[in-house]
Amino acid sequence: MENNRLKDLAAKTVETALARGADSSEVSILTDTEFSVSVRNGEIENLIESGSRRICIDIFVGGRKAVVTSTDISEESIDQLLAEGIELARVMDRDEYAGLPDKNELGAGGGELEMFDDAASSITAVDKIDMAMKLEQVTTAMDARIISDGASCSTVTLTSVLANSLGFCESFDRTSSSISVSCAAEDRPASGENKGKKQSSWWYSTSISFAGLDPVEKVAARTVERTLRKLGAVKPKTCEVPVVFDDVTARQLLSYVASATGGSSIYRKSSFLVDRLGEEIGSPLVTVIDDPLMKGRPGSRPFDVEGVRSRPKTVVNAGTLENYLLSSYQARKLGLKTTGNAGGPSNLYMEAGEHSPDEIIAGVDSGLYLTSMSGPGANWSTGDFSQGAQGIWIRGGKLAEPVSEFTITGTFAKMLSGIVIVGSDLEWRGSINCPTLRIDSMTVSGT
Amino acid sequence: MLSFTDHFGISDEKMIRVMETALSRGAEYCDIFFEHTVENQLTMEEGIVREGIKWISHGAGIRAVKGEGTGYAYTEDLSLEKMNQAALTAAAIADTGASPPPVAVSEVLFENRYPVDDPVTGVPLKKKISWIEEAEEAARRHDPRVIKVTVTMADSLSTVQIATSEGRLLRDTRPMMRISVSVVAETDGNRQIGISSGGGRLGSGYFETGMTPASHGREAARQAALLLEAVDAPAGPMELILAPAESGVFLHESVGHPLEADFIRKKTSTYTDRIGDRVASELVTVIDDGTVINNRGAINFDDEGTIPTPTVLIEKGILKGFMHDRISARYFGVEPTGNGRRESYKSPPLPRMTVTYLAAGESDPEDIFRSTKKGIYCKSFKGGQVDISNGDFVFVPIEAYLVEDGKVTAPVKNLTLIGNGPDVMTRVTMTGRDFAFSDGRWTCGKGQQAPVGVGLPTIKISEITVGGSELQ
Repeated sequence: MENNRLKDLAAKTVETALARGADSSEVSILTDTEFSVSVRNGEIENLIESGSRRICIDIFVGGRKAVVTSTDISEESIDQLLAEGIELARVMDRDEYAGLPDKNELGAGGGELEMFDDAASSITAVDKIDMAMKLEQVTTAMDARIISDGASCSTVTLTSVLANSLGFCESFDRTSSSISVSCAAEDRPASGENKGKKQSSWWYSTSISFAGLDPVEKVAARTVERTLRKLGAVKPKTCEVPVVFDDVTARQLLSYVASATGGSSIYRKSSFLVDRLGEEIGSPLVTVIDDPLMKGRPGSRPFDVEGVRSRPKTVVNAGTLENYLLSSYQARKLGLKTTGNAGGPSNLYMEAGEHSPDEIIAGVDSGLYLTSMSGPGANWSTGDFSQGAQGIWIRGGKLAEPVSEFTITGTFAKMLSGIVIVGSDLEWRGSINCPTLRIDSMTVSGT
Repeated sequence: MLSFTDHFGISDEKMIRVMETALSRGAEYCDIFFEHTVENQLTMEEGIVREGIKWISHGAGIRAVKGEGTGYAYTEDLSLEKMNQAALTAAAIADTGASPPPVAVSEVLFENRYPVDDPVTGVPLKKKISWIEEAEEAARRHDPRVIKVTVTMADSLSTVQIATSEGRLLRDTRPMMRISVSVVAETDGNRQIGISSGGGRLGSGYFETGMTPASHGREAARQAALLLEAVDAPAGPMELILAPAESGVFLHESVGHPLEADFIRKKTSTYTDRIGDRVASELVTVIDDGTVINNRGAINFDDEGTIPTPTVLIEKGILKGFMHDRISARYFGVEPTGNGRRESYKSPPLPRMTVTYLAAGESDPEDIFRSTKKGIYCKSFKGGQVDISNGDFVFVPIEAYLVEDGKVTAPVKNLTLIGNGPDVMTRVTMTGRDFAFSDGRWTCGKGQQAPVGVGLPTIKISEITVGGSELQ
């Protein structure tokens, strides 16, 4: 019901935009209802419950583009916005590539994508508070050294409505639930100035449905493991070694690569993948898929943010770059076709290989098991890669001492071609996912 | 400029009624944060101004506090009915029966730290476009190897009003502007990117402070061209010299975040329980100060109505204090420091930095270089990150050089610097007398975005780990 009302409003706004002088227009309305609770030491620390909405209007006048957006969706406000939008568009320069997608690209793909949890409305605030409380209790009960930094539970319901002047008018709803917990433990060094040193970590689970969340025991165990295994970390020696990216850091690496395939990075010549379509950019073990039509995944969607029908595509096929991720504007700039990726990647993942993480570690005589990366030094625009790191040193195929306060450095080109093993552990925890990876050699900078 | 009644259309009496509702279940304190923000952005790419964006946000957040607990709800519909509904949601943080009613509000006056006659938000579009064109042209002409130039001009005007159950009412208009130029330079398949940006809580007068659109254009092009000549950075521990102003990002990460009092209250920061301890060399005095005139990080009052004063965090190496919001200040029994900030009406406040700086020292910058045998000199930065619990922090330079026998030599690229805050701060061996604040370009992300300022003189650190790729 509400969606139909919003669809009517979006379609009517498109009509008004045309009547006011736009030659084409696109209107989106996004609404969300959020609930989140965080607890610490058995008490509620933050309880947030609210709803919001926003209308966003793209206006094209003779190849000139303006975007106006507001949280106020009253008729009076929209009228004012349209007037300002048309005035703004008129002073822009003409951009021959600007405009809506081709009409034949528009539509909803994939049938029922199972993005909505019908049970969402029956989950009460008390259920969510209890869930966060239990997650914290289970975490702190696992080890006496654990200091809680709080647990949280949140749910969001989103409605996305899109209409344009080519007659497109569709909507979809999406739910999302997540839980997370953070903790710390004292890690006082024997010497040095850092007398209050601790180690900390966090873990989470996220799902379309509340019932689909991982059990709190699993989330708690992973948080505690990730925290305690850092205790006593030392700074490693500066050297060149094989690096095993765990599923967390591999996922981070893949998200950088995904950014480098984005159309705006490509046409701005700000990606190491510029002019590489059809070329070998990684080892033959690397296959990356973007699939918006998977059922019940966090990045699933029937159409992208400009209404282009969703379709799965291979981004990297056995090491060869097959597709950039493009909106219709980016595609026109590059002389290509839209891939339905206005708004970015959908469900993007690297296909799993055959070896378990344990087998991958067992194959390394001396090297790094990388569990955390930090900082803005992964420069996919130029291809340079340098990150702060934490992990565990591998000796004789076994995890040995924890290591911290060092960096790893290389280049995206060498790293992707240096992927010598892809793990079998592809797990879905967000919209970008990657199994454990072994990269043959990187520079570790420590002592 | 619109008046406050036009934006929020709500009387003092209605605010009191909403606050009564927020206190109806036993919360000790509540406040209402009203916000009306207009943001504009113009982008030029490949020589054309291709997109203009105008973004309006309007709403109110209602917060009820009991101890360390916060109930929060917001609404974009400022009718009494919807605000009461939000207040009732926030009230649910407590369940011990009604608290005493709120005190009648009266307006609190303050000194204006960003007097601006002509906010950029009111500048005609044609004028803004002429700035963009000037920046673009300067970048393109600077070097034949420049292949792409993107210029963005962004401005905002935010009207906020805070009413608290303690009877405080504060109203402010916060201007902000920022110009940003990004340049790609290419030669023989080597592509590098230079960026220059700046601004602050200023009007068009920003372009009379020494920086012009053209100077940002040239600076971005100079950096991109310089990086085409850069060599791969070395790996391993060495000496470090940080240039004035921009290097404040080092401070923001290394000791700034770990001294935000929410981490102290939760006992997760490495600086927990360390007040009075020596945590840095005696050359180090660190201050957070939201009153720096026209600075990007300046605030007349924070987002819970506290008027900031300079807060000494570290004095001559001794840990003196933390940055507090109202909740942490009450927890520790100290006065709030004016660091309770929020991204918008959709979020409750958190302890956040404003303008964080390291005070000037007495060294001649030339002596700092002369004393350095083998090290790295960093001038501008991409950003950084810190692990609060163990104090390890990273920061990533854009423009950096090798220093060999007291001389600045080859530019270097592809490096991250990593250190441990409590260790590195004891290794600050020289501080220059050439203090400067950074241009207004930094945004801090701690779950919520906040504009911040930084400042620093030239400083020397006797050893830090340089994370490049070249083994020595």
